[in-house]
Amino acid sequence: MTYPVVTNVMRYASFLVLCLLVHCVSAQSLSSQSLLVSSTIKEVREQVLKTCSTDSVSGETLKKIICSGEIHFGIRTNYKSFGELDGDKNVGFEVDLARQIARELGVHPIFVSVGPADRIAVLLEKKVDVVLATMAHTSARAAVVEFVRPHYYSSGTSVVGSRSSDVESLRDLAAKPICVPLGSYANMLIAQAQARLLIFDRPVRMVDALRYGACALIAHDESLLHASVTGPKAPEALRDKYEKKFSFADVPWGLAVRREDAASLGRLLGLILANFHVEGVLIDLARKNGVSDDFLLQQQKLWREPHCISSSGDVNPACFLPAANLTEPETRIAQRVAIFQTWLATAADIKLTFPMMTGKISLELFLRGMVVSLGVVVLSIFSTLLFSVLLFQMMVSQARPVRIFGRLSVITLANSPTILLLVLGYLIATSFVVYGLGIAIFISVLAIGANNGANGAQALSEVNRLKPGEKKITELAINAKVQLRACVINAAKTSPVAAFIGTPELLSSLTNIASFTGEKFATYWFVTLFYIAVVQAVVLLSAYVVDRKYR
Amino acid sequence: MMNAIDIVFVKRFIEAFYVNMTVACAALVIGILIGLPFAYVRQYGGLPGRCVGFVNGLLRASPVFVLMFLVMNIWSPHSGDLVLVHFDLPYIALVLALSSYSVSVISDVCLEMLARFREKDMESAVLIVPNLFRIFTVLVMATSVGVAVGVQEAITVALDRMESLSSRSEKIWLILFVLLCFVLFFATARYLVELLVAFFKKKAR
Repeated sequence: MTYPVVTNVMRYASFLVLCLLVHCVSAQSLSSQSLLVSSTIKEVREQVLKTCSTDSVSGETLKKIICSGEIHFGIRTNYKSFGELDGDKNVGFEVDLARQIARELGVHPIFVSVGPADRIAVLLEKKVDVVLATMAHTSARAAVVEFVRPHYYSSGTSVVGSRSSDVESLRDLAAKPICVPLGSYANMLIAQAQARLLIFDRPVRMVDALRYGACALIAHDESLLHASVTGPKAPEALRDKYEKKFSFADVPWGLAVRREDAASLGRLLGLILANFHVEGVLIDLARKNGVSDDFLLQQQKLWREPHCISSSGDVNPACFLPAANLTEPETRIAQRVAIFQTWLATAADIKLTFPMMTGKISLELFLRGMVVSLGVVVLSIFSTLLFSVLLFQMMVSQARPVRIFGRLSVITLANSPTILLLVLGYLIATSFVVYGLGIAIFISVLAIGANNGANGAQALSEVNRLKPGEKKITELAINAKVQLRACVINAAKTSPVAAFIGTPELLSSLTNIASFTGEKFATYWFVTLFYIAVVQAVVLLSAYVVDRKYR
Repeated sequence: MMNAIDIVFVKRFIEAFYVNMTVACAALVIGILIGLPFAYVRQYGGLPGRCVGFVNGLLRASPVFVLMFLVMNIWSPHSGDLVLVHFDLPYIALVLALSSYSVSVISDVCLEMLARFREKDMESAVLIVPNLFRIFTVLVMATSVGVAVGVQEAITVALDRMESLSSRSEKIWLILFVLLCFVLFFATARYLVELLVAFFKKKAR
């Protein structure tokens, strides 16, 4: 006779026992992993403490930290949820992490404010012991400083825009304006997608620009935009209006120490971070600060694998994530440019860099920008002259409807801002064709030519009114040469506006280069001088043509 | 079309156009403050005159659009900067970029005016009034480039509105409406300038 109820109870009971056993074994394994690491940290600390009274110089920074009881962290003060100021108190995920690390080391944390531009310099100048400041682990940075692994966070670049915007991928960014942070590696990819970049040097300003409508789309670290715009802790007004469109280029973030501290302080911090991953400390800190924890959950799972922490309490490098290789390949003249930059700095005390000459992608963008700029200037001049003649012929046509249409066209085109003509051209063109480089140049040349040509047509019409007997267009043009010259010069001056609809001329190209290299000073001075030189060349050439040929 | 252009948009557009006017006014004032001394120095020639003439030539050849980006990107303002208390950086960048045009052209106009004064031709000298009005209308038209750096002027408002529309035909209607507003404004302004010139010329005769 069988007793099904008893059998079922026994089955459930055995399952429960099995579950409890599995849980106990894994918990024991976790706590043993954690204990191993903790004892290693404690051991290292005690060893260092013993050397405080000696003059030993090995592991100098670690010794200084343990013996002085203070550790200096370079942290952000304007990066929402990661490192910011609440009154005069430092708060955020990274700040909490720094405090936890200090607690593990048995020392007091001192915070020093750093930014993206100076965080590495501050570390190298020994103003801080560790940088914990939203710094992505890239191979270029790894050549200068030592990144502590495992990484404490990872973030891609998010593109955030209005909910009504139809942007879904990098490809959709062509010709669209997008606000980006200065010096971000991801800008290189956005630039290659032919977007129109506007650079901001502070994240807060960029979010403000989004809020006040100065930016329709913004691209920044996913973590920051999650915290300030789209996430649960972001202001409701922003959360309701904007959403994450897509993200790309995931890069791990790491603590950084000086290279000479890699084997001492770096190794110890690595152990602490591995332990934090195992124990879920980082996940707790992330949740406390409203930071996304997807990466941290993955890392916890990984570091709880037995092979990631050895029986000696050391971490297995095979479990580390690699640095992101985001550097451009060098150009053939990169070395010479570097020598010139060094010479400028030493001989004339001018600290300038020319990234458009040293990186292959930058050089490509730069050269294309120059060619497109010169092309747009030349074509705009021809277009201006062509529109002048065409509109004038319409204005003096025998057919009344054509004449009226010609006059209305001249009044409209002469009184329209070029930017509006460009936008209108863009809207009409994209109704029929796929937008690209050729179309962008065509629309630019057409809009600039129409705008300036309308003024040229008015000048021809004025001369025609004063000299009614003159029938030949060439003779009329000679008589209106001064005004036509002004129109041609104005066309050259207006040509950079083409950048507004994504024409990759020099301003657009150099803005893109500056956005990922971080060099703004030399870049914008160069583009300004280039255009002044181009306009001056047009002034001189047109003077030559007007004064010598048609004197 | 009515979806694209409603009373809320028209109100915002008019408010934003006020920004265009203030930017143009600011650039005109800077133009007069620098252009007049420039003209004064230029009229005497010599080395200072030639130097100022050279600077004036450079300013004349500088594209406003590029200068605006230069100011935006090389100026590192601090929160304590006096001008930033009242204006934001894109606004300042636009005013300064437009000032390159206003300074050079007002310097030229004032040079002409000073020459007429020297010749005691007061009637021709007062032609500077319609000329300044003409420069002002050109400046108002040029303020539209501010949209590229996020100045909240009329075209920025129009393009924001355009972004919120889903239909392409509505977007085109909106731009045509804005275009019509600009054309009416500037065509009227040009006509007024012509009337002013005719008035002053008549007075001179």
